[in-house]
Amino acid sequence: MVHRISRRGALGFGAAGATALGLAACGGGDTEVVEAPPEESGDLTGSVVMWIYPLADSASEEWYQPHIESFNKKYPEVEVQVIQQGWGSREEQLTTAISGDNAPDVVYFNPDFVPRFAEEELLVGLDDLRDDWDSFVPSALEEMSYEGTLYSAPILIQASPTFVNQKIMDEIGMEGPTTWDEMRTVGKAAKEAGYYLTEYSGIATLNHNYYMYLWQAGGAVLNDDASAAAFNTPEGLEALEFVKEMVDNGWVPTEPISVEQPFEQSALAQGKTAYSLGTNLNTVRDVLEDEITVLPPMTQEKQVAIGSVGALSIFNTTDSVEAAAAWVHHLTEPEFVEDVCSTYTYFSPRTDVTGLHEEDPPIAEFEQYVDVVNSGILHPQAREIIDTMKPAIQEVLLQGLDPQEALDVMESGVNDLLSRGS
Amino acid sequence: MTATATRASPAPEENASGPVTGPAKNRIRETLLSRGAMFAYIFILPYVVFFTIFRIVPALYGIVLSFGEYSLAGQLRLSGLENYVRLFQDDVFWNSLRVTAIYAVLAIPLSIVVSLLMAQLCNRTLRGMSIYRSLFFLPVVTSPVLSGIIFVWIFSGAGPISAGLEVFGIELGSWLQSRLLVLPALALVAAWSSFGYNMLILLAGMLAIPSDYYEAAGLDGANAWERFRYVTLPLLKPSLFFVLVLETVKSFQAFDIIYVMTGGGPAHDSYTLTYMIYDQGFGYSEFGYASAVGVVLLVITLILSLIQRRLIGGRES
Repeated sequence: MVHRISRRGALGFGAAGATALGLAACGGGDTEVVEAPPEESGDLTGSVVMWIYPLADSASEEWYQPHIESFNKKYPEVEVQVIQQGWGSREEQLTTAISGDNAPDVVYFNPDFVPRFAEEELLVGLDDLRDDWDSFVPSALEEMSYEGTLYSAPILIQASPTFVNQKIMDEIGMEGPTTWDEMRTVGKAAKEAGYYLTEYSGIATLNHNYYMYLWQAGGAVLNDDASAAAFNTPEGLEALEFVKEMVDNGWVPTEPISVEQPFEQSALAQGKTAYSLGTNLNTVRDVLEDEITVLPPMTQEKQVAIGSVGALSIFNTTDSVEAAAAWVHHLTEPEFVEDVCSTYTYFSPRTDVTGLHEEDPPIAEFEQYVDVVNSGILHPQAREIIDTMKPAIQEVLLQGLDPQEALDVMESGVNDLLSRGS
Repeated sequence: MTATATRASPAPEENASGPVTGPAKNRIRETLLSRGAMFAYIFILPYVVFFTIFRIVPALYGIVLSFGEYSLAGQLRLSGLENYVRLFQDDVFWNSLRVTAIYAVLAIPLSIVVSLLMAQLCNRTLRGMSIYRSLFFLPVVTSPVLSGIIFVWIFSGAGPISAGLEVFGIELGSWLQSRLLVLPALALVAAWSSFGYNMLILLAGMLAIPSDYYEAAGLDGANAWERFRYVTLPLLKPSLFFVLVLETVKSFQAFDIIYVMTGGGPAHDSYTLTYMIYDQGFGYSEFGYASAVGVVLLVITLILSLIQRRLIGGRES
């Protein structure tokens, strides 16, 4: 069955009783949506290619095989291929694939990817894919929605635990920091002992570095209606000056400010960094031999943790939209969510899947901070905004540009960008 | 010493220059339509077809795109000169142009001088010379990504260059984080990765110079430098021109090494025009705007190549 619904207000529109498959599309600013698949179907045919990314360093395509097999028991005529891509240049890979008419059918997205591809009218609406969206964490659904339509189905919530290297903390005889002032104290002691306080990557997305400090200071990247920059404020200045203070005092290694480093070569992985603002513990434990202690997320004016939502979207360029919908439906069932979140140390986006990390207290403990996770700005130009700001921040940290001057430059650049539109 | 050796033989083009008369025209037509020429056309046909499909058509399409907006969904909306107006008002573009020009000024002479020196070194009879030549060619076949990763370490604050200079009391820190040193570092890597190929071209040119000229110069009392200056260099002009054009084009299209080593940083200090094209096109899906930058880059490269041809190449090139 094929039908169309309006983009606006689609979330919560409900799909009760809608069991037939279908792609809906209507003109004039509406979006294509899929409905819930039948529980089993031998008639459903097609081929589905899914692009996923390494959810942990140990993740592999083979890990998905049992889930493909259980899916094929329900839909024997659907062929599923899982391709694990690298995290680097995700957007570029997708852009190349889409423009080359070779896009995957299903793709793993984080929240800041949704607005751009939704704005390009390339995603299928998922509001009616499940009739139990009310069993999902509402904010996770909100993060994956754009202009009222759900475009990506959550499979995991990432809240990267804040932690200290306990060996270093024991050596300097201090407790882990939970405020910026405590970071300063630990920074001085760590440096005297030959360690770094933390790391600051000037290459990675700002979501995990400057934005974090900005949000912790109580600031925001954009104003409420996302029409103008909102970071050129005392909070924005305080955040940038704090980062500069850490660099100037040698509390962070300078190399990662402009040069990309593999995680294994980072000071954190080599046991030279006392504190991490947030890193996937699975990845850390694979490399770091020292004991770590998980702490509450950093607080200045506000408590904010690094994290994101991991979800699956369907490109409307697919030839097998019903099959793709069935596959995404299968991967948002409690069984898969439980498996993926417990294997790769994530938290469940489903309220009916709980107690996943009871045998791993540090991770279980951090689940209470999922509510303070800020995953980034949801805007079609999120990436351009970050790329506009990054050079000025690097100039402050490496070449002595005055932080206020940098904020002025960034504000002007971002406002130009926003006024031009995507 | 007299500058005797200017060319080995008259350039064949000189005989064919001047107005083409009626009988000459007929001869040309006959030659072009001869059986031999037909075979030649057949042999070059596959290349022409592929070149047209994969080079000419995309280039023309790129020019069309530069006058419009192209969405990922495949819709093209023509917008006239909008992209070009925006481009010339864009600070990022002017910075990228400046960075590209500085990089080219550093990389082109460095690469040519190194290639010339290496070609001169290899242009002698020495035991195992073929092994040396093969070794010198290795950087050409080394993946830019791989060599980029190694050079990131070499130019880092903890790398061997900084450590070596520190012995002499010179503290430069990480070259890749310095506004002044990032482009020289990238130019050095570019010279390293391309000298093997250029060296071969120049070496072939050197080997084609008849030994009589060197003997004559030697009889005139020319020393090694004078033989190089007055015999080798003038006769190497066509090869040098080819290498110069090649290096110019490569410098203005520099991307892979920069992408791997600096990501355009620090603070856009190594953000070249090609990097801007990549970001605009593949990062932000602004294909029209990216194409406009590409067209400007094409025009710049074309003008520079023509100037070089006029100044250095001459007709014999």
